[in-house]
Amino acid sequence: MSHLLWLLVGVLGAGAAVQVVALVVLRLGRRMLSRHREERRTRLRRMLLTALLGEGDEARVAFAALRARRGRSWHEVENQALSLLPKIKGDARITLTALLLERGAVRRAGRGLRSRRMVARAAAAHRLGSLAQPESTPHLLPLLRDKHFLVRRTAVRALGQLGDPAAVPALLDAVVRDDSLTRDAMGTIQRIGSAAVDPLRAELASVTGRGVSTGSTGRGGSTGRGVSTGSTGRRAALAATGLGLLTDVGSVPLLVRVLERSRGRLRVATAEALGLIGSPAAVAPLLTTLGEGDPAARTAAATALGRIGSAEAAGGLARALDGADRDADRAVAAALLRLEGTGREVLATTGSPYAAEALAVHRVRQDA
Amino acid sequence: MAVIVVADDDADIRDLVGFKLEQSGHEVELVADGAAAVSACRERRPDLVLLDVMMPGMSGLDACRALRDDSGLATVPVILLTARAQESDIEQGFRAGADDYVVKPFSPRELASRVTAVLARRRAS
Amino acid sequence: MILLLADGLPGGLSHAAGDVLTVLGWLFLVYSLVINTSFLALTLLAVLDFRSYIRRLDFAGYDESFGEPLTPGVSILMPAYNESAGIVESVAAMSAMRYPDFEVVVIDDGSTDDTVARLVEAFDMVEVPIVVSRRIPTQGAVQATYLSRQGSHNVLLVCKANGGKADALNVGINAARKPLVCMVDADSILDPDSLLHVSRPFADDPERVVASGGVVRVANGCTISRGRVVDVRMPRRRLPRIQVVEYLRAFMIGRAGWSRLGGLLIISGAFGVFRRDVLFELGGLAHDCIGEDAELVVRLHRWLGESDVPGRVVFVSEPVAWTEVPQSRAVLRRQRRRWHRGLAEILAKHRGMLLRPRYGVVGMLALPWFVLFELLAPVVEVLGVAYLAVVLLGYAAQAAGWLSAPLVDPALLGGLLAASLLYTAVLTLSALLVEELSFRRYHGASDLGRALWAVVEENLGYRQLTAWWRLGGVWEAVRRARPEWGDMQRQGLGKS
Repeated sequence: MSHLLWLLVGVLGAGAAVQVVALVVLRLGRRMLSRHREERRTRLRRMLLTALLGEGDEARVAFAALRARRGRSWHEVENQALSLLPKIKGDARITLTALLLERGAVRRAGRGLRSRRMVARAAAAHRLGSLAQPESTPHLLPLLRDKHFLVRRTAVRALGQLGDPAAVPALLDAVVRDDSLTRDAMGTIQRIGSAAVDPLRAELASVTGRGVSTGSTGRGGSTGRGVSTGSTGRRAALAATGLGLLTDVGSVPLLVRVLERSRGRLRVATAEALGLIGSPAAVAPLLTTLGEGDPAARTAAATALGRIGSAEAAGGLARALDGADRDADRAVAAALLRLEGTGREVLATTGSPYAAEALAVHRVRQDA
Repeated sequence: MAVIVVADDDADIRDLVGFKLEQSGHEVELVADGAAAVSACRERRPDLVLLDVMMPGMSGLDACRALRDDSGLATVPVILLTARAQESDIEQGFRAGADDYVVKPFSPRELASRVTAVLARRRAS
Repeated sequence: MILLLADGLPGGLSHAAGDVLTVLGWLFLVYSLVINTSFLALTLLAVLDFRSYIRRLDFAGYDESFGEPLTPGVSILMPAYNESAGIVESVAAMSAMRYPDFEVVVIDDGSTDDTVARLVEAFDMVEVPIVVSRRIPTQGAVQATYLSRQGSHNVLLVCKANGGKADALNVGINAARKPLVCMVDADSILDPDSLLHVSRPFADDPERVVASGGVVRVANGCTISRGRVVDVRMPRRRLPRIQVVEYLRAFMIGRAGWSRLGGLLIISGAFGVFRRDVLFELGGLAHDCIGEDAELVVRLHRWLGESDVPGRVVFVSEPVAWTEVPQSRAVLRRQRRRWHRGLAEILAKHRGMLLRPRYGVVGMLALPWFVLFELLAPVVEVLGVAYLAVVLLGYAAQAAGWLSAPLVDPALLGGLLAASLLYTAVLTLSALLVEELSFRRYHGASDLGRALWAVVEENLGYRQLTAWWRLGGVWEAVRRARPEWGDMQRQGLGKS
């Protein structure tokens, strides 16, 4: 027994000693290494900037020197260049992209996509995003099914930089499979811009054909999160959110049709989208939504009516100020405030504490 | 030619802007956040300030307001750098007292010409 | 006692006492091995957690996501009671966080000093009738609500009659106007990006994440400017220095490990974010216990288990809330008694969750672990010290000729002591290594020297002393003494 004990003491002692040595080496080595790396980085940075932004011979010399680099030395150039690339546009971007393409950066990244290492796949997707070459889209799409979240997310964001609307259905699929990608996918759709409108409308229209329901708002009513049933409703809700973020006026009739026939999360998403678009044509159906039971949908409808800012909503909004739900009441008061003239009169005359709050907060903001 | 304070939390942007403006013959002071920008301005009395809108701590908009409230810096021209090409941002920027804005990703050449234009306008007035 | 008995007794009995003590010694070692090995396992889990986190930073574009749509708004709640020394600076720092949509709600819990006056003056506040919901029942009535006229008007002050910290936080939850609620101590210092980091899990997994907590680190010794930690240093004073390594091991590594397992039981009151609708569902913080922040999380797990909601409580290891730890023994003593008393009360209150499969990892693993290795640890530790004293007295007795043979073989005693002390040191050193390989907040050789010295110091007196205090906490819990509001003497943030 006691032999074992001393063996244990020996092992622990040795372990502690190794740890202490490792700590000292790491701490001291890091400082030297980081200084060295910093110097190299700064020299290279100077060269890159001269090649990109410089003028005349100076720039030509720097560009040629960068182009002549091989192996690890080129690798450093590629890393820095890819870090700068998404931040610039104009001729500097064209020069830099040409250099990267010529030296096979896209091919290298493409190989990384098939790597067995998760980090390598994510890095490759990230690079393809920065390079933003249209032909990369089909290579990135399979990554939306990757088993690692990080790879999926990086692919979603890279598709945003590519801006290819062909990716939209696959993006929605990816979010239906994994809610965690919602924000990134919506950001990507926003970056794709108006080109994404058609595929989104197609998604949304597909639910109007078969009678719309799905998705009930769970406990977390106020945040609009809950248990979703059925992926069609979820896809449609995402499509609605996307159309709202793109403020696509042409989608208003479709959104109104869906609003009138949907429930739960889809209804919240459509109401929010109509608010973001801000079309007066949506006032009547939003008022109907406001008059019904679901607090999350009421909150969304009130906010939307405020955004649209049409005075004809004042009466309906005033009636909705009934104290049934705190978030809905606050949203209604905020909406009335945004209607200005009539809305403010309503606020001043109603007895709701939320009306008093909205007016008082507004006065504070005005004073400043 | 002119002294310019540049505030951005992204080192790449600082390098790009700094290099381009120095190349155009300006003296550039680079800082990483809004508060540092304000104190750099108080010290250097620059001819122009470039502020990123989203920075940790004091944002570019807050820094811009702070400059406008400072009697010595109330008239220094401010150009905002913003990542979001959203109207609300730009509107807020002008209300905070900015003179111009540049949307990221930006073209360094265009930025340099805007700086020249703003400086020229200020000299003329 | 054993000595007196052993003295003058026949050799057989003295031998029997020696045998008992030897076995006891081995039992202490086994306890120490099990507790430390379980912690080593947590460390490995934490490493996995950090690794995936750090990998994400490179590609996930979190920085860009700052300005993106669908970021949930956050209400930061800062309860304050007679905090006039540092309140203005903390609130100013808090209201300058980097986050697209947030408000700061200061809840003044009936301060008798000039906390309110200072806030009103510093933030140019005016009285505004903000509607404070009554969904969570509270004790101290709301007297007035103020809104700042400065900046983006996101500072709200709620004055209420005194009712304790839990009551203040409940009023804050009622007053909060955003879907997420962040609870912060008025004296903790947050990094500008803390809110972005700690709310990330809600954006990553909006359906399931119900609460997230951040690391709390020691602010003592660091340079603090305008309510921000600008230079991270090891404190020069003994007690804070030891607490730095203690916090790294227990709060950073321990919690990250539990989070990875899905059994995170404690979110520090100094920095935690919750979904407001869930807080309403839970009825806010409990009034009748001391560690109300910890109790809330345990109750949250209980609610998740009972209502079959697939919720997650996660830990975010990246920056960070900084807090000033006690420098004096008296304050540290009070703090540790309080913490341990809180733990004892919580475990007693929720003992029904122990070993129930419906509560998952929390019921089957985390709670039993906390009972065995947190709650009972000081008992074992103090017994261990007493044991050591007895055996050493035995040696003295033997030297004086009262005993014929040592009660426990000195070599064995040395081995037992060395093994348990070294194992603890290995654990703390692992925590330092993980920090060195991941977040690297500390720099320079002299700070490393201080940290290494603190690893040694912790085992020489500090651990035993805190164990004694924690035991006092258990005793208080058993006696059910009345809780009090403050546990720390606070200084203004700028002074340290």
